[in-house]
Amino acid sequence: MIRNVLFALLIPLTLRAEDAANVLARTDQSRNSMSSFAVDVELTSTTPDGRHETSKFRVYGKGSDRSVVEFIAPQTEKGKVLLMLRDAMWIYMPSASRPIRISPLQRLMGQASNGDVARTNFTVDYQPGAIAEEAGAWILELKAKDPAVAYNRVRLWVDKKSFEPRRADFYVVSGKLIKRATYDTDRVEIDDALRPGHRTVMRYTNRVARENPERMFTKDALGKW
Amino acid sequence: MVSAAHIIPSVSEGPGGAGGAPRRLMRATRPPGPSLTLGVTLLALALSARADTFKLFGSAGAESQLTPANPASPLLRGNSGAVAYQTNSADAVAFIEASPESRKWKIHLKLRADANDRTGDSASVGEAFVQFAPAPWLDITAGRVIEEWGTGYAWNPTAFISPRKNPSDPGDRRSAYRGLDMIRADIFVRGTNVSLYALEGGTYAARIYRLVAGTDISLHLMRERQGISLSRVFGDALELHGEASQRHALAGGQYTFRNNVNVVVEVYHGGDGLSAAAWRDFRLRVGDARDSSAVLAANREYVPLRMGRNYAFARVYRTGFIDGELIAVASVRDGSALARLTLSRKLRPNLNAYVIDTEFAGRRDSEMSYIQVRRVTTAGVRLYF
Repeated sequence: MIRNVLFALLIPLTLRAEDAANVLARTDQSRNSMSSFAVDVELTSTTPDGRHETSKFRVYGKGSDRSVVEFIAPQTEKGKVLLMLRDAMWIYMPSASRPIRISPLQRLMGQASNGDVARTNFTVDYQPGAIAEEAGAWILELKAKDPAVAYNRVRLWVDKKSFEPRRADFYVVSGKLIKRATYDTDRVEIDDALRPGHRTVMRYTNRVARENPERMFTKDALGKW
Repeated sequence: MVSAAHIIPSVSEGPGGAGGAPRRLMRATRPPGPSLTLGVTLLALALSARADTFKLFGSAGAESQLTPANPASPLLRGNSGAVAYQTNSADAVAFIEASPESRKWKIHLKLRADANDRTGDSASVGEAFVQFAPAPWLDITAGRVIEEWGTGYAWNPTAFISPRKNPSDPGDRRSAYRGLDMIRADIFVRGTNVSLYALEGGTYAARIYRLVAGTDISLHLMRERQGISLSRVFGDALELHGEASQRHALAGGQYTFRNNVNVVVEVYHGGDGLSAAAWRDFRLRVGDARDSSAVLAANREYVPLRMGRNYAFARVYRTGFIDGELIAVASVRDGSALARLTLSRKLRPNLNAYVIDTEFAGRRDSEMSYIQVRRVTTAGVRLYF
């Protein structure tokens, strides 16, 4: 009897986990359905006193966990290239003439870390856990698969109809909320939860399918192509 | 006359010895000459007309450097007039890249021009190479290439064919590095990258790289020299690295705090530095030097941060309204140290202004007490395009 009750309780829990995985997969699919692509990213960072800075990148992706970020602007950053292979990252600078291993926390600019720009997929880094519903949205609790991932936990709001992400709260190991991202079509706003008023807006344009050669995604070829 | 350019360790003084390409190799690269580099430069310019993607970027800067003499230095013997108090310089460096949409080939040029009121004007080709990809797993490169081996921040014990770094300016802020003439083959096979080098002067080298369980591992080979370099990220903020070759070793790491402060710490052992006995002998020779030629010879022999065998390095960097970088390098033997503070401000998206101050500290008879200047203060602007 007890076994039957436990079994009856476990079935919905299992279904819930599968649901969460499916929702997350469809969310990633909605963000980027191309297996090999290129997209322009413009990143504008503003502070409470009104100062703002703009950077531009060209992001080349292949599969769900490989990307190369080419720095286009400002001029001070031109020529730099970032490679991300799952959670491993290297940056190439023309002056250094070699790829340097860096950690995910090192920032490109403003509130956006390297990972924020280079990462195009939640499934690679996060395991979905609990799932809930709220006003036309799924709420997913995502747990980092690896301690190397910059944010230990993510709470993700997903539109129930379109499966597009609406909002994501990023937490560190201590449980502190670090960042809040708000998603719109081809636009993400990132607010710094620790420093109110500090905001970074990422805009995506010119997303195209493009056959990126395998060689682009090797550390030793970084900056050479 | 002893100029600041001779006494402050500088990337422009060229590589040599441990952690840098052999002097013979690098000397041979100095004159651009009618060599492989010139041919490649011309080919590159011709090919660029057929490129779909053409990139031109770089920077131009002007700066003034103050180097008040250190009359307490035994190498000056109180003759402070021998040190140039002020040096003004300007430079421009341009990177030119061109490739077709298929990226089957690429050309790359790094051109540099320098003007200096002490050392005169010069122009150089830092890099000029053509690269082809005859197969998806193979790249062939011919021309002058800057190869940077190793994972260390301030020193690279495995940098057998790389420009020697200046630990007090490891980032080559003026892009002054110059490459070696070479033909290089990069082979990419199942996650392992093998690079084979045929260098000027009939020298051969090889490097093998693979990412193993999240750790960068490279093996470096050149004639009788072999080395290994490693790097790995732990968690989201800590990176540890190490390098070792014959008589040279380095261990270090960097940590990025949540407030975007980045800290790098390294310890270095260079077996070709002076032992305590050799340093004592050097000091005795300096003390016994009676004529100007002997003093000049001692000045040439004295190279800061190479007069000992063990050094420690720390760097703290933070970006903000004003970017700040503090570098400290200390001799483990006698505790003498240099500290270099850089403050830079982005005036416009393409214009930086900066002030750099380097101070030296150490008791009498220590390595830094011999340095011929009290401090080095630099102020300048750099325009990026």
